Amino acid sequence: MKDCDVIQPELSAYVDGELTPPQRELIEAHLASCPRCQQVLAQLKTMAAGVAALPKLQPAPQFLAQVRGKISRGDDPEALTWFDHLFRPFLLKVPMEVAALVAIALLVIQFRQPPPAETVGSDQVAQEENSGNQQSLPMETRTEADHSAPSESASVSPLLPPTAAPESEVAAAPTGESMPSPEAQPTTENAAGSSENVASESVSGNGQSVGQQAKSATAVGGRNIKFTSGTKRKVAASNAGTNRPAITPTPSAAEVSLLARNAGIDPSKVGGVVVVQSRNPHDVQGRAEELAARCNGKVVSVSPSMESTGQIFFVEVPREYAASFKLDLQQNAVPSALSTNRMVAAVAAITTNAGLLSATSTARVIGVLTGGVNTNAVFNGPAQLSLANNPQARAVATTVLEIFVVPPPSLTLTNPTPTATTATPAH
Amino acid sequence: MERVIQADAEKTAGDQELLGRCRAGDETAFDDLVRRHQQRAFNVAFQILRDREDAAEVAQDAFVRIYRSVSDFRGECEFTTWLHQIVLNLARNKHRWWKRRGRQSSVSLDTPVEMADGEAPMQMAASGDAPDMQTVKAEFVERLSRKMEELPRKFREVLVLRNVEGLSYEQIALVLDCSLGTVKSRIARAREALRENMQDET
Repeated sequence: MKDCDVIQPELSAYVDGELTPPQRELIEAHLASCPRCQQVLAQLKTMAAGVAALPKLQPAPQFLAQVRGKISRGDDPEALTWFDHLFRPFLLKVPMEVAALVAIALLVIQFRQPPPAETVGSDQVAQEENSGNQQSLPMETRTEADHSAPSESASVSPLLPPTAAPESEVAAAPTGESMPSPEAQPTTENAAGSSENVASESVSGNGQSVGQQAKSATAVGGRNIKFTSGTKRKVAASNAGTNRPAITPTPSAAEVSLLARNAGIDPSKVGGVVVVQSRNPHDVQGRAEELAARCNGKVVSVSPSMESTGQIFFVEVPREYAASFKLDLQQNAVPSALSTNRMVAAVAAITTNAGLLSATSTARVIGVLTGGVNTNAVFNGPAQLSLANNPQARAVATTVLEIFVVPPPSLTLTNPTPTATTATPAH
Repeated sequence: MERVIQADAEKTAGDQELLGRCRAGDETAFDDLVRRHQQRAFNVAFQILRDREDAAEVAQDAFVRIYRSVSDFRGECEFTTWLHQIVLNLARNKHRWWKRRGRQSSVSLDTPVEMADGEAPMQMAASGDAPDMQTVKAEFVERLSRKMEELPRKFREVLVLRNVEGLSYEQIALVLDCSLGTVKSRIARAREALRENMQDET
């Protein structure tokens, strides 16, 4: 029995032929007289044979092509892992355009107060009415919606969804006058300080009255955001009272590169963009500094505050910490971060609504999710919640969202979405 | 056994030649290298991660990394050792990440291989991997496959390297960068755990 205790731990190596001849002889001598160890040996052999017989899978035929694709795109395995990880909950694959993961451009979007009221027009091209002409956006590639973003106006990006019917093209007419109706915000709790930097925009049309009901949500677009410009729609921006949340797209990789260059950072080192929504950029900067310091990194550059896009921090962290840095920052950005499911459902609701709203003409879609990466959108209509669980919409939606969005905690939405929504009932 | 060793030697020589051509800038040599080892990389990753998509990604990334650092590889070990190291490292990162995120279901640890995507079907291991081992029934293998998933990752790693990849203890020690003694005891414990798991069920 004592021998068995000594022998049995060696049996595996015996099975594998990894013992010296004297050891082997010792084992065999014991085995000859010990049925128990013989049985264990037989079982261990069976285990080894079983593992060896595990099914072998063939990689997909395009394996080599995919490797080649990654090489030519300059994908970095680590970076890829990060992106994949970050967006995995949304079943996304995000192409990685940058090779090295050293500096992170951190875009902080300052949340703005939701609009008290607004209406949506239809089928008419709105003229643009810029209250101010400061086109001071460093992100020069903004679209028509953006270029009119003075400090007190929001940029709305009209997008034409593939799912949206043609009539959903929205004309946003300038209202000029503001008609705030704070009491009419059933779905939005506006705990955010309504004061500063509130973007405003009103769209009107079809004789719809202004300011009956407004829903708002936070907005963040994907990195590759593009705005549909085919439909000559302009967004009116009126300053003063009628304020709505800024709809702030994430800068594209090219834009981040430009900003990086301006800040004296080698753009090739920029490994990704983290979007964080916060009412207070200083909080985010503080947290970024703290996190960076913990992993021997630092905030190297802070852009001057940009009215419509927030501040951009460039943070330098060691490569191996980049992934956790990003995750930490995002996950801890808001204590009440939404769960994946809720977010997905929210997106689904939007996608659904795009079709629904345009079909029923109860309201007009100003912007919707398009093409798999864009998330900048404005929606109108009370039906937003009803189809949140539509599986089809959900399926579509999960392929759309690109950027992880955390709404500010104070913004209690019945239908939180990572896209910009502004809902107005149409009559 | 000798025949196997000889075949291995030829393979190794072939790898070295391809690596040499890669270093000289021959792109087709790299393609050959990928074709030659893609199944190996994919399978090892799959056995660790039990998810096709993750496994494909890890295996591809491993080759991307090899492509990038092929000029630094001086042949201090066999190419397959290097490949195994990279695949295992990437798989660990992925595994760790999912663990932290608490993913369970989507790792599909409990389901064997899904063929929903219409990819190449599963193939049984060619017989002759282990001439001295008894043949095992498919049903048994399927059960064992599920039990493997319950093992700690470290145990899975050594068992896969040993019995699927057919590495010697010494080669495994190189891949895992640990001592021979560690390999020996880890394999013993892994097999013992597997044996117990299988007995539990019966």
